[in-house]
Amino acid sequence: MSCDSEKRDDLMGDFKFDEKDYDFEVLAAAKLDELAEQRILQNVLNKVGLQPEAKTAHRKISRRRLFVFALVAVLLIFGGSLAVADVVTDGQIAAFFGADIDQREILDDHTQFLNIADTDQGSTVTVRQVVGDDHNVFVQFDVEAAEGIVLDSSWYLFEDTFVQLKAGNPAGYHFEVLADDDPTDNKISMLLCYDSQEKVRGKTLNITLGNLYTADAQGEDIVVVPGEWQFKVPLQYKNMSVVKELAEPLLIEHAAYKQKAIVTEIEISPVALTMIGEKGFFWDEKEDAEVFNNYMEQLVITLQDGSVIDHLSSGTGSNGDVLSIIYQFGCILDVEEIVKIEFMGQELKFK
Amino acid sequence: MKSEPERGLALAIRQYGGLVKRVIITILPTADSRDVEECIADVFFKFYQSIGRFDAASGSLKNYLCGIARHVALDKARKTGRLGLQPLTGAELGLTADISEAVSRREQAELVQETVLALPPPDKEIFVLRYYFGQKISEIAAKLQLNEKAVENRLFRGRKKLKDALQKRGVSL
Repeated sequence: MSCDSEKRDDLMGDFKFDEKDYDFEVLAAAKLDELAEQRILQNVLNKVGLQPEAKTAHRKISRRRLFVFALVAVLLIFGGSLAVADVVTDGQIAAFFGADIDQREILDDHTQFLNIADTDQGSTVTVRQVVGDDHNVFVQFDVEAAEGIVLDSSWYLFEDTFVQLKAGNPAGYHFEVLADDDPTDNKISMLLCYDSQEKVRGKTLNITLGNLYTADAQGEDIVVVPGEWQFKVPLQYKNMSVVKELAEPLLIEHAAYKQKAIVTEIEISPVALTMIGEKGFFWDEKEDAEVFNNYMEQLVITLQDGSVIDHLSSGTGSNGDVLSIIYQFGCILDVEEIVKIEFMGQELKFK
Repeated sequence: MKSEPERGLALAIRQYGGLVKRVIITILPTADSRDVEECIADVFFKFYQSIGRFDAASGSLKNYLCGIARHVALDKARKTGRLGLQPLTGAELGLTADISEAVSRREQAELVQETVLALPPPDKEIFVLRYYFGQKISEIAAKLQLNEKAVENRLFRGRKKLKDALQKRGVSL
């Protein structure tokens, strides 16, 4: 039950390399002397545009971007592109979640409709709808490419993305292309799926998207919609979550972070389950780390009709005094229909 | 970094510049020193641009910089024709199905990480040198004092384990 269909050509592309993991030396031997450090710093500062004498291609890009940012800021200040639209859901988010009529009602009741647009190089991206809970948000947006561009590929991604609630907040996100009812036109709808350790409702999500790309017939990446679009999305949707207090505190353990935490309550919404634990212990290296590195298959939800939801998309985060585990369902659940929640093989009991 | 970019960059280069250089020359062993320095500068430039995306919870700053350094060096290698290796794909493992239909990107990343790190030494080192750093079989053999056939056999075993792990998660042949 995954909602990620991103192109992932290079299986090692997300691999995290750390020398500590190897018995034999992997990296070549080399050092950086002080003079080289200074030359490199100067070079980087030139690229960033902090040196007045620098006239590099990167600086030109910086200025262009600055102009776009300034333009967007002006538009936002004067309200030219930000408006809350009185529209009904077009069902694309509901279709993505495979929602039936009842579930769609749940979504419609909690969806926040927006019409925040940004245009660059003749192409417009418009944020349409937002739905979610306290820790998960799904942002639907339309991409309307400049005249003459046909968006008919099965997948698209952005070359540059920046999605942030607040610096330092553990969070994860990915994009989905929603069902396209007309592959011959210049429009597609996409969904940003975002999960966050900090509560998101009532806050503003900063989003920057740059250069929409796909693959050509030869499998080579190709930018089809050049541009950069920037948004500040106010997250004002209705809360769908219920907080359930556990009968007994639950110990969650994360070997990769070498941390343990105590959870006293969990938050469940139709789209996700969130556990936030207060850190208090550190992992004992002698314990079996293998088991606890992966929480993906450790949550099983049983519904009234006997159906079981498992193998959920999960994310873990650790920051300050808290450790979080967030499961996105990829479908809509009626919280009232949940009869059993098992975590790490143990049924959770609630007060 | 945001409030004092010059100072932040200087500290980052001082602390991690050596590591970044080592990653780059592992991928570009024959690059001259000017090219290497240009790559290092590109790494810290990209780091500066993407600092908001760095998530301390999903990996260390060292991991993050290694990832950027790898990307920059492989890109350079491709542009200069030094890279003979294509990325490790599902097709190379013998999987014809689209992996993204069975597992999310995060799940895929976790699975690859776990499987590769669970390989016994020196299989793990060989796999990473080949598929993360794009080294030639002959270079890996020389580095680890093995013959090329032994390197190829170990790579085959690693690919098979990864394929099996993906299949267990529902990726079909």
